Amino acid sequence: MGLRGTVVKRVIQAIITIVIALSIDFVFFHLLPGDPASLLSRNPNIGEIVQERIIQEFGLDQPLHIQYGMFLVNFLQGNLGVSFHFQTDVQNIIFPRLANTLVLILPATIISILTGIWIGKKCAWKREGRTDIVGLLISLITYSIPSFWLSMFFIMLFAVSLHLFPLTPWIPSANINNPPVFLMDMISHLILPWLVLWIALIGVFAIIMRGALLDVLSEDYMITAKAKGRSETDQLNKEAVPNAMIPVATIIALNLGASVAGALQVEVVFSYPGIGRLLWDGIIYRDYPLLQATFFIITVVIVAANLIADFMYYILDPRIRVGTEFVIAEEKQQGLVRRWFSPHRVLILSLLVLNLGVYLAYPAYLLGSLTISVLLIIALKLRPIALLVIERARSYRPEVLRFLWAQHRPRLLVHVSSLFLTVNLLFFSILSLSTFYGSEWTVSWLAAFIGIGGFPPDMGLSGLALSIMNLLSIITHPAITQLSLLGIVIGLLLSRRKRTMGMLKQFISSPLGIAGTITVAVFVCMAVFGDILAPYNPQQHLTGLPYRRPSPLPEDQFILILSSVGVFLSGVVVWLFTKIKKRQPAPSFIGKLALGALLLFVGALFSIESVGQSSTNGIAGGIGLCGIGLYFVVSGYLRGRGNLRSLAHRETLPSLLGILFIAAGLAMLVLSILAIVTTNPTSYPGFHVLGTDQLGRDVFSQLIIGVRITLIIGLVATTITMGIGTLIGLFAGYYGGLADSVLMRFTDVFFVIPGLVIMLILGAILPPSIYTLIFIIGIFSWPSTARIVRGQVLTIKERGYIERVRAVGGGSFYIIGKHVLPAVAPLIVANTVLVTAYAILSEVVLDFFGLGEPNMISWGTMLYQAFGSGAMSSNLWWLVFPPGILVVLLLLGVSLMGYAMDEIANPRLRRR
Amino acid sequence: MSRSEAEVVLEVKDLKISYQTKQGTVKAAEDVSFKIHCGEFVGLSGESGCGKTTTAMAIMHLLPKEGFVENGKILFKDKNILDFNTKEVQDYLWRDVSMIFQGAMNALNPVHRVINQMTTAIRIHENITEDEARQRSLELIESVGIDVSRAGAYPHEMSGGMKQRLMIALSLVCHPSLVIADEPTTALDVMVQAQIMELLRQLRHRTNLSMLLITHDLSVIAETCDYAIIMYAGRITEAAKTEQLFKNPRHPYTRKLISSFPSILSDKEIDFIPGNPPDLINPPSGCRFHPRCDHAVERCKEEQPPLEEEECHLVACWRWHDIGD
Repeated sequence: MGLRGTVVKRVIQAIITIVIALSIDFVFFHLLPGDPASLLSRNPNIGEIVQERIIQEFGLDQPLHIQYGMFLVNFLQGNLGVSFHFQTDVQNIIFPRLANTLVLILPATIISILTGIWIGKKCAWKREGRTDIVGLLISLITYSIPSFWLSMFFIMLFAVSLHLFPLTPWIPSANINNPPVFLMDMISHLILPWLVLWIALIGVFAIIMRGALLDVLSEDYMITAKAKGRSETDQLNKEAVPNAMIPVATIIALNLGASVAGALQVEVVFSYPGIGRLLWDGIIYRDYPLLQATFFIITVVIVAANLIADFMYYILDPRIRVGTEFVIAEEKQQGLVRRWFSPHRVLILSLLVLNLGVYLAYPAYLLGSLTISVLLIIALKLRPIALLVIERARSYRPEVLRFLWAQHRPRLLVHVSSLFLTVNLLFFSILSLSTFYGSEWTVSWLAAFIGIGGFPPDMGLSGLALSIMNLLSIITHPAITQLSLLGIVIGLLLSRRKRTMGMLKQFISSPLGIAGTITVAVFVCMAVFGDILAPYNPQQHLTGLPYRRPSPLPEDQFILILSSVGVFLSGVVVWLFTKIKKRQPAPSFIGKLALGALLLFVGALFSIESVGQSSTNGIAGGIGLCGIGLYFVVSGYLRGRGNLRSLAHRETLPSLLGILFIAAGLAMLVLSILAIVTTNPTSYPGFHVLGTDQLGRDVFSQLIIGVRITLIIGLVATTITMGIGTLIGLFAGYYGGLADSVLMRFTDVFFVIPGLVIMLILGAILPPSIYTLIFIIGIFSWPSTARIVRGQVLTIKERGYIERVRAVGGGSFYIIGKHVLPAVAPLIVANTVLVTAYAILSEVVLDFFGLGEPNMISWGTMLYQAFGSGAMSSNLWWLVFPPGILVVLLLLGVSLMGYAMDEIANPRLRRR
Repeated sequence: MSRSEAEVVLEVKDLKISYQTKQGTVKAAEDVSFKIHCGEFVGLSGESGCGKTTTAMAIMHLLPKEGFVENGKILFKDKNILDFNTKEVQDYLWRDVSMIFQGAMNALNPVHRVINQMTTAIRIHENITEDEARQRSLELIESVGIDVSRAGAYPHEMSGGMKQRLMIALSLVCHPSLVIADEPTTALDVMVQAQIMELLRQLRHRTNLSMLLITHDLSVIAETCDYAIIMYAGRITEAAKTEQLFKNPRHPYTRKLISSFPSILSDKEIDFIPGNPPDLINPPSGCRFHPRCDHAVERCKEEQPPLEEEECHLVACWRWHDIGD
């Protein structure tokens, strides 16, 4: 296919993507309660005549499908509606703003790409050397910094404190007659935003380049290059890099959404008159036409950029450009159409369409039509369903269970847990979908599942009805769901003990992985023990005067902290000394004993305190810590009791001392912190470690409690994402053909539309709540997971053994469950951690845009309130820095973990 | 001209190479010594993992970072290449010694045209114009049997056989004194194998080229090489002129190797060597072949036999006198 053919094909695909995006746009805004015409009339800003015109042009009084058609036609022609807030045609506002945004994004992105590629290049060439670790750290750190926070930080540092850059936002209309002054003004306003965007994007591109280059460096032709006598620079730049640029170009194109997401946040904080700021205005004023148009324009820009990137790919890879068409002859499956459209499938499809129609036209009858459809399907397929149920039930008969208990206990755990899970979820779905107990029941189930609130709710029933409801609630209790899920996971892990142990070992030997895990563990402890660590109730207003600066520590406590840190640091110094001077290290069981003792101590401390403050979380967490500590102490003791002789060596003494000091120092530190936070509010009233905010709430307490929301939302959203992404990737990859093409087109669209933009718009449309956030983040992050899983499934399909299983008679589900899934599992695990990082970042950004639940304390909301109350210009640093730094640290920890896991699990990053 | 009179291009003396791995130190090659004379084709053979490729990589300075030369010298025209600094190594590579890699499928860079890959190699080492370099490359391409019109193609546009022939042309492009061919025919089908071997034979007759041909296929050595060296478990077990080796194999291992070839002429049963190649982290004591040898005695388990020379035929075996036809 020559250049022309490819151009045509790609352009058509681009147009299809835009149409799909427009359709999504249309659907979103019809999710709002009420119809557009009444929304319009309720708005006081728009005059009668204008309203009439809009109703005419967009057919708002016509049936839905006509509205859709007119909507498409209008938008594709550039008629983008009338803004509620600005009271003029949107197209007049949007294009100048677009120009401003492009001026911001293009230079910053291009320089980021170039610098990122340079860093990635240096890292890959000296893999695992010092350059690599430094480069990786820089990349991961910059990747973890939310752009909006960096903007706030820079403004406070460079504009407010150092007065290097203008504090007031840029007004393009000023100085428009005086070109040189205009230019100077514009540039002086652009430097900080450019800097922020540049830093925020470097990490992404560096990591991409590093990965691609590592792949290339392990290829045979690199050895040929070296054998020719090429200098190292030439080997890297002339032989390796041109090959690496091929995948890098595509991946960069896919990540352009990151640019847009970054630019959005930057524009908001700097009040830069671009499209991002327009989106923010639209959200604040709930200006729906504006939002619709902005979404469309952003999509068009990204589609265009992707198209350009596609052509770059064409130029860069001669394998595509010249000759060979990689068209593998499609298997002409005779009767494919006939097979696909078997009577049963046609029936199910038509029932689906019918129900969809009912939902759109007569929502009240949906429940009825759904029930009838389900009954119909059951009646038709009674025999296969019955057979399936019987077969499943047979796997639980006593002989089988006894066998499993004797031979495969972990599998027994999985088996039994699955049974509980199936029954539990079955009853839950029936009760929920039929809304037997109303939506309140379902909502409280969801809340209890993620750990908030109690279940079942009080429904005002009594007598027999109450007993029945209680029984049903026990069967469907979310705790059973959680426990059975836990059972399945533990069972699966244990049944592959050797492999998991192997991977764990590799993970522990990676310093970045350990650093990440420790960081995340600290945050988890913060969440679990939050009740006792927070000195005040974070929601309580006026615990002190508003806007108070952080109070200095009382002298005795200061000395306490200083000495603990001193002990710890001296321990570290001694230990490093032994490493550098290559002295004999203390035997490993000492390390285990020390760790165990430390954990026991901390656990006991926290448990006692939790009992005192009746915090169930704390007690459970404390006991958990004690348990882990006990495990280490016992295993260390068992390992060590044979080796006591090695302790007698004088050589090991420094290392021994080092470890002891480190443990002791940490223990003292924890003790001192606990003492401070528990005693200070009473012994030193008005003491606020990090000051107070505009409502007099203690900042430190908010930080401690705020981590919970972030972690909960991040984890639950990740679960949804991984679930959807894995399922889609598995089936698309395995079945291929039509299903694959459709699904891949679908994910392509999601790739192009920047996730953040969709999330923001949906957040503006749907009612603000924690569930909305979880839903939004979960639903829109799955494309990359699906892609990765699909790719891996395809690789596995290439390997012969799938065909062999087929030949022996294995069915599709069997193959997928037993062969494909375990092979894909490590990749999924590695990807999960990275997705978690993305989910957490999205949550913080969404909160910053004011889309979180109003009464929720989270780091993002704290920053939102700081931004809104002008903390930057008043230099109230304690409101801006602490939440941001914590966000960066948490994200860094998760990214480090994910990165270490990726190195282990990802077969692409193999070593030579 | 007898072997010892011709000029020595490469001399390997007591080479000892090891790999440092997590499981321990792999003794990949020990006490390897041989000479290659000008115009001579030397075959190096043995099972997988016996140290042939390691030796070749050491000569090309291409050992991976886990590999290191513990001991010994590699003298190229009387200069020890192991003492070279980076610049000297870069000059030496390809101009003095070049290599034909196993499996050319991936040995050529996909994004550069084939002719450019050759001219680059020339211009790294010689200060000639682009046109002259192109001219030379085109001549070489033609001499390996590829039509010059294909010279501007990308590697993915060529078949496996063409790519291998191109690798051969590429290796000759700077007129090196020695070419190391690492399993040049292994990844190819029989027809292409025959073509490549014919090409190598022509090269041998037309030029003064010396070659170290590494292969596990004894028949290739029998057809193309003047001198043959057999390695086992990192050590040389036998070395002699090809005719002598095949007519009069002295080492039990060589004898088994030769007899494991089925014969079209007679109805011989297929012989095989029982057991597996040894673990090189903990190689067997004494003679490394003794666990699999039919003629092993106590001495074989305890002492390692040195390479003895008799009538220009080297053997490392305590009992080669006793084993006779």
